[in-house]
Amino acid sequence: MILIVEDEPWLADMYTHAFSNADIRTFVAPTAADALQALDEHTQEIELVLLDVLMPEHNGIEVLYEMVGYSDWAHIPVVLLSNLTPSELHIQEHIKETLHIKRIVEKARIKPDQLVSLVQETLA
Amino acid sequence: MGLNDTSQTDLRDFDLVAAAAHELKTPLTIISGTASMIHDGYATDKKTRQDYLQRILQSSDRLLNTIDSLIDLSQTQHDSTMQLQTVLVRPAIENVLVELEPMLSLRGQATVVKVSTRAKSLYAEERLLHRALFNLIENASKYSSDGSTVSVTVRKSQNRIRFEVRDQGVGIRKADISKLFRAFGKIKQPVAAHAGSNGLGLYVSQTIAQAHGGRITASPCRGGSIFCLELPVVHQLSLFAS
Repeated sequence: MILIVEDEPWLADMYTHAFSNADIRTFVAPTAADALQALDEHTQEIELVLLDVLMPEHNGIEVLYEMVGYSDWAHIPVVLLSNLTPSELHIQEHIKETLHIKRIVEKARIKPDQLVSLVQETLA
Repeated sequence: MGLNDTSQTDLRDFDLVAAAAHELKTPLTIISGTASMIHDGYATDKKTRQDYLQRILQSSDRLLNTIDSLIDLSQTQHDSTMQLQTVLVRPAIENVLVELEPMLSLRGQATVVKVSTRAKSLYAEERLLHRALFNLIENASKYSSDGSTVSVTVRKSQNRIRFEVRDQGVGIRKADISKLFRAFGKIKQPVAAHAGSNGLGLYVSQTIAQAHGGRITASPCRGGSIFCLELPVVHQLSLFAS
């Protein structure tokens, strides 16, 4: 199961539809707090987290720091989804490794089916 | 486990232009992603296709609103371009409600407008006042549930006109009030899933209020929030001009 952490309902819906079409189960968390709750309740099922960065209240990087703090979650691969460009995010390589960030994807430049393929490749 | 109230990784602390560019990308992502799904055959039935087309249209509106907000912001920050005139209060509110009627009607929301006889007019830039009121009333709708009521009460207090917009919405914590008026300082997603929010509305409205010598305040109230736009009856600059 893919945990989609995305506060824009239509984007979450779009990604859910694309994954469903590829027979991949998803769970949507619209806030950072919901993401942590989902990780807690579905630890064994979540294979990968698609994580939005800019969200109201708490951002995706805060979720990542929470994830690495718990051994049950620390191994789960993460794909960061953001409309910030990589240069705006300026996440250094060693931070990517520490936080288990497998890919950083600019949302506006990836189509839903391309995102599905990217996740499948990441999990392969 | 838990998230701290004070973020050590505040990603919103980047400049307005970068933030605006980011905000424009969100509806664009929905438009291009949804269009590609229609193109790739995901919308197999008529209902889904219509739903997707509706999302594209509404995201286009959101894009346009964000661009309009940025233009208003730019205009407001250059005071010399403001064209002040006498504006009648009740028609100003009614014009906003006419524009918002499709959204209010779709959500079964009612509006109640009360204008004191002492608060008939003020001196303002009409288009900017419209934008400030539009943002406040639209927010009141977006952050309230279907079937709720949005009340607009206008009073005169000393030499100021107070527009009070009261909603029956999700409310606001006192600790979050200062964040509300920051550019892109969105605290929560709207209740209306389709509504979207560019996080600029209150910032633009506050900038407009300040350009007129006024201000906007927010406070929680029983069962919702009150946003109060307070403007001088006569703009300070006009006193100097006369």
